[in-house]
Amino acid sequence: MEVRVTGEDRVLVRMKGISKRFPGVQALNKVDFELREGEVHVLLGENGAGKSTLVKILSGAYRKDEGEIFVNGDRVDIENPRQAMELGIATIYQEFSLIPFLSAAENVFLGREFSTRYGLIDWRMMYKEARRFMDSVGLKVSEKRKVAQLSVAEKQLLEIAKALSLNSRVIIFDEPTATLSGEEVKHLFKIVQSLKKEGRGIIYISHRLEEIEEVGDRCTVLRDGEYIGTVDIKSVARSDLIEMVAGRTVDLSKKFIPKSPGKVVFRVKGLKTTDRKVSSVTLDVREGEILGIAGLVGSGRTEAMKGVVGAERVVEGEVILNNAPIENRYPWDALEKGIVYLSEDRKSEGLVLKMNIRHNITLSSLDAVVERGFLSTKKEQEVVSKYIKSLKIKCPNDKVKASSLSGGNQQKVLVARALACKSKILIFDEPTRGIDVAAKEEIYAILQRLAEMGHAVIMISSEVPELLRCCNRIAVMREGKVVAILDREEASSERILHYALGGVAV
Amino acid sequence: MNRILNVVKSYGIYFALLMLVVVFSFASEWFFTVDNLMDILVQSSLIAIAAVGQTFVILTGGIDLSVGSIVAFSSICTGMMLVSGVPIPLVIVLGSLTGVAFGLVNGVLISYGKIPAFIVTLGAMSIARGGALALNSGRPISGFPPGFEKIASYSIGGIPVFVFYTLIVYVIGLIVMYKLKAGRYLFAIGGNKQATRLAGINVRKYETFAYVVAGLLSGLVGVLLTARLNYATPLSGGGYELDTIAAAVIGGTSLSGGEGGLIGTLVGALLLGTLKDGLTLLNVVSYYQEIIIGSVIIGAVFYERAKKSSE
Repeated sequence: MEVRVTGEDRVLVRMKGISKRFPGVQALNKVDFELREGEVHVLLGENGAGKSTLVKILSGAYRKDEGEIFVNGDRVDIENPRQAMELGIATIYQEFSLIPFLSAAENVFLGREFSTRYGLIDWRMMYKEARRFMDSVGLKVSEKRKVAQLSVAEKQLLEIAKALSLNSRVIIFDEPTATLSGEEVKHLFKIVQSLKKEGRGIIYISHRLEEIEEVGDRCTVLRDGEYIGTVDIKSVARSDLIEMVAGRTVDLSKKFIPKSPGKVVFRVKGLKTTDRKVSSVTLDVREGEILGIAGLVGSGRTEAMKGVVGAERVVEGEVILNNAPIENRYPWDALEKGIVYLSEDRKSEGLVLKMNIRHNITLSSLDAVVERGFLSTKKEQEVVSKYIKSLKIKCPNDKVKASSLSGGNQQKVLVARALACKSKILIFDEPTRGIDVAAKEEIYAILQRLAEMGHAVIMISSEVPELLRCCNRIAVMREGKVVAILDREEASSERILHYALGGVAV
Repeated sequence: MNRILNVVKSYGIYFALLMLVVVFSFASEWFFTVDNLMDILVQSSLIAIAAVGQTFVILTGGIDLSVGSIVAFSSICTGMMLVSGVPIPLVIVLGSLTGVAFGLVNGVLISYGKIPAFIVTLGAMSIARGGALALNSGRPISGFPPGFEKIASYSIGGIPVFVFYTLIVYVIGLIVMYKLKAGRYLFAIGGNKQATRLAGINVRKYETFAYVVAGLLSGLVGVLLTARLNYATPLSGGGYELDTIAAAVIGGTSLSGGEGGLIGTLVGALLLGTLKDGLTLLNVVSYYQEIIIGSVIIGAVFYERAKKSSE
């Protein structure tokens, strides 16, 4: 039996020489991983590096081809999710595995309902127990509430409560903060700290370096399915970490701010939407400029920009293009005038995943490839290959489905779609969400190039550092209003946060 | 070996049709005769034509349950117009337009009214059938001018004219699907409606378009069926909705939308027609025919699923 004790840290999970092949790719090649008691162990790597595959092997969703897994020192074969659960391994996935129309309590004890002597469900016991676990993660909503009525953050806490009720010693978080607001992230981190103190081991997958540094103890880096190394986060410089991930040096101080913007081409005045999430948005964009929009999740950034392009009903306010007021009642009105919005949710609001790349790119601009009334394959190919080349979209050919691309390349496909329809005003909503470090830099460079070609670019982002690296000016939103617009010289993380959280513009 | 398996896999439905033809040819001496093969084509043609519209609808992620009832409604309207002396060309046009009317209402309620397609077309199924019964108090109509029956019984070089109608509809259907914007949008809408809307496409318009096409072709089938039978009955077209759905699904069109095609649907319709014809020649009682056909439909979808998960 192999119980390795390093200092006083007991090893909860040890994975040795794990390999996994999918048709056409070696997803993992002899990867080692070790999780100790009371540590937060970050898994870092670009999309497709193999983090998810590794975690899925541990949680029983995939089966390994090679290698050994030890849990609490015992060699185990994890064949299915149920077995992982019995070994005390729980996963908090990005897409939650909760049943929307069951109550919080029912979800916590799904498949493990308490029963009375007569074989009926013991509701009192179930509610009481659910309450106990929900309290322990600071989830204040009623245990009888339907999951469908919970916010994203609340659902996540409920998943954690469920993991605790299973007495899981190993808890896997897969990009837990992707859709949380600042406050919610803070609360989550507090919970993670207390889980740590109880001696549980946390596996934490994330792309955000800031939060990795805040919450993580050790970090294992994967690249292209290979094990690169494990480091102590406190004693490693951020630039070294990035180099491990990217396999080359990435200069984080490099700026992508477009030079010499021109005149104002696009204005929004006093915009207000029907759902009240946007109460007063006023801003303007110059050609050749990147305007950032900062603000907490839920501050109305997305809704405001959707309102601008007619994807959200506007009740008040003006949209002015080249000094002429326009009305976009539907997205196709905006498209016709050269205004395009690229959603933060690439998969459900951007791409048609079942369609190939070619058709995805030309979706908004089919008129341009019509010849005498019929679609011309030749013209379409020309357009598409031009953008695949200029945006460096990595794909075997343009007939592969959009679902087969990595996040960064999917984003580029959407950029290509926006460019193919000759739009002048480009609105990017979280263009780098879920994209790895190297691909992010590429996207920044593309945004800069677009602006310098004369487009007016609006970039919504929750990551303040990237706004500071890309934007000529940054508008800050709070509770449905633009509360400040900062020039690049006056913008700083502190000031942006100050306005986003409640300061008033002077 | 693997190569062969792969070819069989990607052309599974063609092989299935081929196998059926081979098996039936051995089992019955009547099966592989020119007369019988032509008969299969004619028998399959009406389902095949209506299935083009059904495929359009299913591609958008919808479903049209009103196909059979619209066929009956159009048939009764056709019969009534004929006996009251409306010129035949006009009858053909107006008969088809009754289908367009139903399709338009279906489409508008589904896309603009946001009522689920299943519910709207289920309602339309009942309304159109009821309408067909009410128009002539449930009685069949016959005694048409002699020229009308010609549009069904005519044949060119020994090939029944219905085969040509089917070909024409499929050629136009294929052009719409792969060479016009509308066709591309059908795939996009079925693949991801919200993304398509945000990409600046008038989703509701093109969704309605699919139901209008389904209605138009159902109406046309009503006219053709009336010509073939040389009488009109409010009970005609029964089960057409399910046969057309079956043809599309056997042909590889995904009920969740966004994937599929017309060639598959045509082969699917032929497969159903061949199966019915062959089983009848073998004197299989119709009860058992239904059981076999049902199993084939489920088997086809199961096969598609297995193929996909192995990819």
